[in-house]
Amino acid sequence: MPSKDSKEEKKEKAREVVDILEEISLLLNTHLDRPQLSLCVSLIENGVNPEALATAISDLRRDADDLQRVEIKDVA
Amino acid sequence: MAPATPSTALADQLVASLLPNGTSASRLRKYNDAFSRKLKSHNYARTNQFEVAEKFEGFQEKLQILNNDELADALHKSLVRLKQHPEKWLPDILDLLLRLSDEPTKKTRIEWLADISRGSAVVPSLTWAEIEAVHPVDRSDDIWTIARYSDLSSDDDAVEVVPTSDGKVPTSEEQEVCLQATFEPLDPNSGSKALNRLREDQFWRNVSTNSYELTELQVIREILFMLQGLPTALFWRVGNCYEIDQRFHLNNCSREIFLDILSDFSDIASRLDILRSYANKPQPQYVMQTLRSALEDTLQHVDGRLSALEHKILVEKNDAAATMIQLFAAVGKIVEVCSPLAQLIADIGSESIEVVQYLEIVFDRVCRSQTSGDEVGFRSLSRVFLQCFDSYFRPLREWTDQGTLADGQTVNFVTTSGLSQDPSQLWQTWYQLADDSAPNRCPNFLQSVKAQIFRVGKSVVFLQRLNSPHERFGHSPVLTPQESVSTSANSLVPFAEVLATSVQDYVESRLHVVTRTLRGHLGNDCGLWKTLDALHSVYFASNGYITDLVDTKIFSAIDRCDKNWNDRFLLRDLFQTIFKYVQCLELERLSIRSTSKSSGQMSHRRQSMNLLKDLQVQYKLHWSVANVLTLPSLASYQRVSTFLRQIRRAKYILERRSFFQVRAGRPDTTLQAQNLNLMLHHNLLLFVNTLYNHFTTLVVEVANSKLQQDLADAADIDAMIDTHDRYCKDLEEACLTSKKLKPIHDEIISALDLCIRFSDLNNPSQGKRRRSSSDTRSYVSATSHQQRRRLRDGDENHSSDEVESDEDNNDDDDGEGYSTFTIPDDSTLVHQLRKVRGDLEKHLSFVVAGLKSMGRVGGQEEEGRYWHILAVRLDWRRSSC
Repeated sequence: MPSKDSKEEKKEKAREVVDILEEISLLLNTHLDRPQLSLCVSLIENGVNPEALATAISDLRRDADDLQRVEIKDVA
Repeated sequence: MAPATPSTALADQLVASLLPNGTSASRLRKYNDAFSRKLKSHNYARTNQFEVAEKFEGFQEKLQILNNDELADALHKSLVRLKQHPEKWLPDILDLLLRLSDEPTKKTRIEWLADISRGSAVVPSLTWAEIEAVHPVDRSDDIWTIARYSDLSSDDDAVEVVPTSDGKVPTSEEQEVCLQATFEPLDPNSGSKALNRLREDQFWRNVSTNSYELTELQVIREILFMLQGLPTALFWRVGNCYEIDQRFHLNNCSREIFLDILSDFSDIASRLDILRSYANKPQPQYVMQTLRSALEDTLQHVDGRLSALEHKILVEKNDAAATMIQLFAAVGKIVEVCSPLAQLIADIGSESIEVVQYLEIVFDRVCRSQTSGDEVGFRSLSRVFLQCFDSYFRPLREWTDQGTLADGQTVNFVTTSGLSQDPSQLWQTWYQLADDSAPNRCPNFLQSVKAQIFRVGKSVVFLQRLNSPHERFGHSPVLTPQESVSTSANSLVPFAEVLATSVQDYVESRLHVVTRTLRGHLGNDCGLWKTLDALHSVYFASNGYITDLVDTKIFSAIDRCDKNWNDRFLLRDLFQTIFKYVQCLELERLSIRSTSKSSGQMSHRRQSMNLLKDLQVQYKLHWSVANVLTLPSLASYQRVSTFLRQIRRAKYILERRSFFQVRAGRPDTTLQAQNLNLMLHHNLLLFVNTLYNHFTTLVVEVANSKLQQDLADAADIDAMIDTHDRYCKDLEEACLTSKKLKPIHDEIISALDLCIRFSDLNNPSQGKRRRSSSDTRSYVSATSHQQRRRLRDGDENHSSDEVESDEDNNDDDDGEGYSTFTIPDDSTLVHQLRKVRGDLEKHLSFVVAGLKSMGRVGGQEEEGRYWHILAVRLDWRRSSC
C-alpha cells in the first residue's frame, strides 16, 4: 500500500502538473477551464486519443452554440 | 448498453460541462452517446511527441517574431517546468491543447495568467517560538534593550528596560501596584466581621424616627463630606443652605452647642456651595469661563486640603482625639480664600452679567480689599481678577499686535464701523470705539489708555496695508499675579495704580514702536513731505514764475471772453506742461475740475472775480497721505488758492492791461482825468500788492513752515491729523476765506472787481472803436451780437437800460460784478473814475474796520495779529486814496 506521504506527494505533483497545463491552456486560448482540463487529462490518461477528443470537443462546442442560439431565438 | 466505464463517466461530465445549463436529459444523453462514439471510433493516429514539441517551438518562435516576448517567455517557462514532471501522457495533453487553441497569437493576453486562482494553502505566520526553537535568542544581549527616549541627554539617566517575551512595554512598579489592586466582592451573607462593622458604621441606614447618637468622629466625617459637596445624612441641602437633621445628637455634648457648631459648619458649606454651583454652570463668555476655571482651581485646592485634613484625622495615628473645635479652626483656615469669592459670586448673581460690568465689580473689590487690609481677600480676588483680565485683554492684544478684530466679538470696545472700506478713510472711519453706554464699553480702569489702544491697532492695520513689516511683540501678560502681589502686599502703592501703570507701559511701548515705523513710512515711502511741497506749489504758488506762466494763459483767455477758458482738458495740459519742472509734483495726480453755474455771457461773467471759482485744481493724494491730509482740509487749500488767484488776476489786469494806458495817458482825456487815473491806478495796485504780499509772505509762508515743524514734532498720527486740520483752519481765518469772515472777504472781492472795472475804463470796449491789430493789449469786445446791432442802430437807451438791468441783476445773480464796459453818455471818464475811487474807499473802510474789530476780538491769537497787521497796512494806504 502506498504510504500516506507518497499519496500526498503524488497529489501535490498532480496538482502542480495541472497548474502548469492550465497556464499553457490559457496561453493557447483553448477555452478550457480547470475542471474541464482535469477531465480531459483524466480521459487521456485513460487512453482516449487526443485528436479524437479535440474533434469531439470542437463538435460539441459547435452544437452547444447552436443550442444557445436556438434558445435565444425562442426567448425572443 | 455498454457498461459505464470511468472514461464514460468522465466523458459525460465533460459533455455536461460543455453544454449550456438547462439542457434536457434526453438531449444530454444523445450528446453523451455521440461524444463517446466519437472518442471510441476514430481513425486518428497516435500522437507524435516530437511533432508536438516542434509545434510548440514553432509557436514560441512565432510569438517572438510577432514581438510578443512575454507570452513566449511564459510559455517557455511553463514547458520547462512541465519537463520536470515526466509523464507519458503529457505529449497527448499538449497535443490536445494545441488542437483546441483558438488564435492564441491574436487573442491571448499575458494578464490572464495573473487571474488564475490557485487553491493554495494558508501559510502559517512565523512565531518567535518557532524561531527560538531553531535559533535560541540570548535575551541578555544589549541588542534587545529597548531605548527610552527623553529630553535628558545624560546617559546616566537612561533607563534600561528588559523586554519581556511577549514584547509588551514594561510598566513601573506604581502602575503595577495600581493594576494589581482589585476589589473582591464580598458575599453579603458570609457573616464577615468586617462586613458587620461596615454595616454598623453606615448609621444612616439604621436611623429611625427616634434620635440617634453619633460619635464625634462620625460627625467630623459628615462635616467633611458636607464641605466637599457630598451628600450626607447629618446635613440636608435645602436650596442654597444646609439644614441639620435634628434626629442626630452628640454624646457628652449639649444639643444647643452641638447645633450651634453644626450651623457654623453649614454656613461655611453654604459659601462653598455658592462657588460649586457657579463652577458647575456653563458660561458662554470666555471671560466668565476664566472665572469659572479660577473657581474650579480654588475648589480643587480646597478639596485637596480637606482631603488631606480628613486623611490626617482618620488615618494618621495621633495621641489627641479629633474634635469639632479643632476641625472648625482648621477648616476656617482652608476656606478663608473662598469667602471673598463667594461674596463676589453672590453679588454678581446667578443671571448673566455683562463682562465689563463684572470686571469693574471685581476690580472694585480688589481695590477695597487692599484698602481695608484684607490680605487674604486681596490675594484671592486679585488672582481671579488678573486671570479674567488677561482673558479679556486677549482680543485687545490681538488688536494691538496684529490689527485684527475677532468676528462676533462682543466684549471688545474696538469695533469695525461697517462703513466703506476706502483706504484713504482707514484712520478716520474704518474702526470706532464703543459708546460708554454700550455693553462692550471700555472698563473704567482702562479709560486712560483707551485712545492709545485704539491708535496702536489702527497703526498696525495701516502698516499692514502698506505691506510694511513691524516688530512683533511678546505675549507676556500685562500684569502677573506675582507682580501685583509683590508690589501691593507690602507697599503703599494701590493696586489700581499698579495695573494702570502696567497697562500704560504695555500700550505705550507698542505705540511708540508702531508710530515711529508708520511715520517713517509716511515720510519716506509714501511721500508725505513731498506731497506737502507739491500742494504748496499747486495751491499757494510757491514758485512764482511757474504760477505766472499758468495765470497768464488763463487770464488772457478770460479777457478774450473765451468760453473755453476753463476747459479742463486744455487746462490740464497747460498745468502738466508747465508744472513738469516742479520736482516734487507728480503730474498724473494733477487734475482740473471746472464748474460753471452761471448762465450769463462771458462778457458779463469776466467782470467779476467770482468767475475764478469755476476753476478748481485738484491734486489727488496717495491713500496713506490722504489719511493725514484729509479731504475736508484740502477744501481749505482750494478756497485759499482761489482767493490768491483772484488777487493775482487783479494784479495782472492792473499791471498788464492798464499800466501802459495809464502811464501813457489817453489823448482824449483831461489832465485832471489823467492825474486821477494815475492816482487810482497807484492805489489799486498798492492795495492788491499789499494784500498779496500779506497773504503769501506773512500768512502762508509762516504757516507752512510752522506746519512742517509741527508735523515733524507730532507724537502720532492723530496729532498729525489734528495739526494739519488746525493749520487749515488757521490759514483760512488768516486768509479771510472762512465762513465767519465772509463779509470781509466779499468786500475785498468787490474791491478786486473794481480793478477790472478800472482796467475796462482805460481800455474802452470795441463797440465804440474798431479793433486795431497793432493794439495787442486790447481785448476782444465783450459785446454780444445783439448789443453790437443795437449800438449800430444807435439805440443807446437799450444799452443804458441794459446797464441798469444788469446793475439790478447784480444783486440777484450772486454778485458777478459790474456789467458795463462802456461809459454812459451822461457820464464822463472822470466821473466814472471818481465813482471807482469812492467805491474803493467804501470797501476799504469796511475791510479795515472789520479787520480791526476782528483783531480786537482775536486778542493774542495768531489770526488776531494777522488781521490787525493787515488792517494797519490797508488803513495806512487808505488815507492816500
